[in-house]
Amino acid sequence: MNRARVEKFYYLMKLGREFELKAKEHYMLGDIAGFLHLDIGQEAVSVGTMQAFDKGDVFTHYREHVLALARGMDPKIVMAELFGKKTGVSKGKGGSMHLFDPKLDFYGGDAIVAGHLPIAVGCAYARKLQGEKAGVFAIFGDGASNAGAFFESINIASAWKLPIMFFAENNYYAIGTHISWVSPFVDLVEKAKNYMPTFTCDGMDVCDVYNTVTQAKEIIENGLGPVFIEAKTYRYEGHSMSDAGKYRSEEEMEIFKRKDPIENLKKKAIELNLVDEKYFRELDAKVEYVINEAVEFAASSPEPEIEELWEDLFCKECENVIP
Amino acid sequence: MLYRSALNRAIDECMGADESVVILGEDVGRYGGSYRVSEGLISKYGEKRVIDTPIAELSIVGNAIGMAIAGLRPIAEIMTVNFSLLAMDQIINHAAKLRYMSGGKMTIPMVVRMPGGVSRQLAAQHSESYETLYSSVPGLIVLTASNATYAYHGLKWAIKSNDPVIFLEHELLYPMDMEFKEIQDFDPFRAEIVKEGRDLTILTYLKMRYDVIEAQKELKKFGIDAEIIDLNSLRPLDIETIAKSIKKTKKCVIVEEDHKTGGMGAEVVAQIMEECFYDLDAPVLRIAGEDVPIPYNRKLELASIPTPDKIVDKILKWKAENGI
Amino acid sequence: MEYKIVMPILSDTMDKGKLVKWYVKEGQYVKEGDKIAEVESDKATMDIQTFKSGVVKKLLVKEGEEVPVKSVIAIIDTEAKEVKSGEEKGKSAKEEVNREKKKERRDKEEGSEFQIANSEKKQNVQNSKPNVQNSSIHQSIHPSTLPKGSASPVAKKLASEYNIDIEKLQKENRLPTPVHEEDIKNYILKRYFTPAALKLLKEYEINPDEFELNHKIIKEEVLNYIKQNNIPKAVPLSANQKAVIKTVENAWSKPSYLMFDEIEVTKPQGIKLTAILIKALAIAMQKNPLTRSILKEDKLLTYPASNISVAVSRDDGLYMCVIKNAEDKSLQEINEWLKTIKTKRLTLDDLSGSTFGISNLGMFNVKRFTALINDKDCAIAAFGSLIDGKIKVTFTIDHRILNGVDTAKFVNDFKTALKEV
Repeated sequence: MNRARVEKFYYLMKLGREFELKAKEHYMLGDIAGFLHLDIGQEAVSVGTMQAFDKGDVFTHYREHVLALARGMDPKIVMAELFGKKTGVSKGKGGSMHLFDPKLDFYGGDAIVAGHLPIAVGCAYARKLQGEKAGVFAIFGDGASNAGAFFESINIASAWKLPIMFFAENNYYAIGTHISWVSPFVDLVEKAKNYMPTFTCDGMDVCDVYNTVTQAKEIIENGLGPVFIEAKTYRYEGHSMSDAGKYRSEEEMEIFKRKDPIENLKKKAIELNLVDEKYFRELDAKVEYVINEAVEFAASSPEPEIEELWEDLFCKECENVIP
Repeated sequence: MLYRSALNRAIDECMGADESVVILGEDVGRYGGSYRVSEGLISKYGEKRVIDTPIAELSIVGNAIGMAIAGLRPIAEIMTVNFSLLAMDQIINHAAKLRYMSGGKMTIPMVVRMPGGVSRQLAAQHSESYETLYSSVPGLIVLTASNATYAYHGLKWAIKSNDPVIFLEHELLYPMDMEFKEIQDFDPFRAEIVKEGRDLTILTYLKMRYDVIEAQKELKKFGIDAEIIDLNSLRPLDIETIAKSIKKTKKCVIVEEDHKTGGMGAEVVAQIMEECFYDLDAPVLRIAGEDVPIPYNRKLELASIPTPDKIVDKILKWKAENGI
Repeated sequence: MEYKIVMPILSDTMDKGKLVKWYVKEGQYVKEGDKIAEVESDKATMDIQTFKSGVVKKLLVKEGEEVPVKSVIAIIDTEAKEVKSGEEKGKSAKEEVNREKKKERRDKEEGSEFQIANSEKKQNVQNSKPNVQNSSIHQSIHPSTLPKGSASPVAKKLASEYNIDIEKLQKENRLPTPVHEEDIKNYILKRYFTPAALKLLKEYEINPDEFELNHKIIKEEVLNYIKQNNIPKAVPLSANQKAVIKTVENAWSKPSYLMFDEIEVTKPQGIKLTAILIKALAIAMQKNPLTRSILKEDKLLTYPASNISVAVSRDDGLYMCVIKNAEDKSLQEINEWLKTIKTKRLTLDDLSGSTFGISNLGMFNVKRFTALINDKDCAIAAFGSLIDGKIKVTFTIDHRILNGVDTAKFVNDFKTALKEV
């Protein structure tokens, strides 16, 4: 842990948290609609992984706002996408669940549970073929670890020694279904350990996530095949805005809130005398400024034109030949 | 009665009357169902009959088939039709074919329930209508419930049916408070004449029924007296009721939320051509969703599907173009 | 600064929300993120929180009440501070500045938030209403151009039954292209019926199929058919006829009684008798407030003016036309009004605002008759013909407004007024 790293981690996690809170507020006001899945409580995973896995391709599930921000996506265009505006990263066509930017090698936002895993495996195959070392990062939840596509993916990746990191973000609940009701293992590494090297890390500790991903990454980069990491974490909010989260107890919530990744990083950094309280206040002000700017940008951006409804269905070349 | 309460009542009554009826799906039990359709069932019938499954659609349907073979009457709930694509193999290759392949020896008494259609800004992977996929499969019965009365009677019939039924619902209908009628001689395959009219037959189903009713009020101001028919059953299709209406009005419009190309309307038009070509006074008009995935932005989303004003507009334009 | 908490949108299908429980009271200090209420959406019951700190100024919705999403349910005063001693001390000047800056931004942002919400709402309203204006563009749409001989399937079928050569007739411009069922039907009708006969079919709503279509059918044949089958001519009721029916039906249900009397009148030259009767009624009404009254829900409305509804037989039907402030008008003015009202284009104002009515059938030599009370009026006076300087009059009175004694007093005032006019 050093000062620069603390600053980076804290800034991104705080940015993610405030971004999500603002998104929640604007959902309630009707500026954002559809399904909105918030990452609050899970920032350490989103930021730690993206900071460590800084090269290569990223495939994500639909709780991906903070992953996108940590990958370097501009909060303005992410917020604009949530607002459904023309200036959004997906031109207002995708919304909260569908953030994509090939420039950042970020192929995020798949809203079919586990649907992105075979795709990530395919990408890893291509990267191996192309001689790329960085490989592929695929993040998914505990719910996805029960889907057929998951098992097919770890099998193929392992059989063909593909450069891919499977990152299981275990927050215990698939909407309202606890992992223990529908899976023989609460520890998801159990599902992968016969296929590839596995690691676990504390999903509420950004440094632990960062270090684990950094360590595991070496296996991929050395061409030794896939790896599997599990991080236990917790979402403070419901699955989406329409979920009251009544299936969880207040006590359970308190346990995890005591381990809040942002507060804990702050506490630890001050204890180690790396930075002082004032320093965090300045970062907070910066975050608030950036988020307000993002909301302002999203709110004042234009709606897409009706013509855009029929655009982006095919590539330009095909559009020219398709009658 | 709320639409979702009608469905809940149908399931509740069937589970109460017959111990072999079970329901399975994601969040159907302790959570109460993502649209509250299965609310309260787990406390009444226990977790052995109200089964929380993992996110594994292929298995939800596949397991249901196995349960049906073993003598249960499973109701498989899929969260949205988009996710049912993961279960397509089980539905088409297995549920629909087992009876036929076994020379009639196997019986698959099961229902696969799922909502579809455009809700509000759920974007492309949560907004599709795939009724056309299911209604093209021999061996399946495909019912759509646009109202509480049909939801209750139709679902009850489907649960009691000894053949696999795909039971399609619509997300926007769940919280709607609707008129409810008890029907003695319910026939799931009969289309409903929602409103009689002289000038024009409008065929529709699911949520579009309500947009058509709105549009018809506006058409009335232009002196057009439309007859509205809700198809209810997509396979088999009640071509008899449709043909009878067209023989009277000589003109037909189909309003569907699905994409136009290869949508449900395409099959309906084909059957109309076979059945009552010589009664037509104008080409059949299809008003359907645009041939694009459903976008997130509300303005574009509304532009991608029929709305009451678009229905009125297209009908007036169609009349003008055809000189009728 | 006021921060408004609105009924949140908690699901994609939520239009209304029920306020189940308030966790806070008015006057209570709340911190950003505090739970303030429990709300039930169509999908679940959940807690909502405040995004700003401050003191709860007002709770606008009662527990158990259901309100549309986006409606304001509570107001937080963000200026008000938590009452705690010593808290505010010891902060650096820089922090204060920062706070001020933040506040400015917040204020600005709040303003825009609500604007957005409103404009969005407007848009939605526009979206949901069918846009009829658009249809005017259809006037400019040209029907598709198809070769001669084009016809709808049903038109072709019908044409062949009657041996009609579509293509030939289209070339002669006697049928449109493409031809539809309606065109063939019209053509058949014109072929077999004379224009006068067709007119009769329409007026009597007779199905042409009732006749054997093998010869030219003339008016007389249709008339004969009408007589033999005793077919009625059906004329739709006009809007006024429907209104009159509604009014008299209403009048019939009023608890009314009759009062008969006889009055003495001398008719001056050049003035209609009705004008004198109106003037005298108007004067008497000024002395009897109840005759200037009507009932509205659980209130009795008494107007200052003598506004009288007068039964006027016009070319376009019977109308109860209202003369306003008749008490202030001269006999000549009333006389003039009676003349113009016969032919002028009536507005809603000409037909509303009265409290008392008059109907005069004297000119038709009717001795005595009774009338039904108009619309919301309290009474109506029906006048017979003038015989030996005397007229028989019948008052129909709404008993809910005027008792017998009230009417008797009014009638006496009316008689006195007649002498003064």
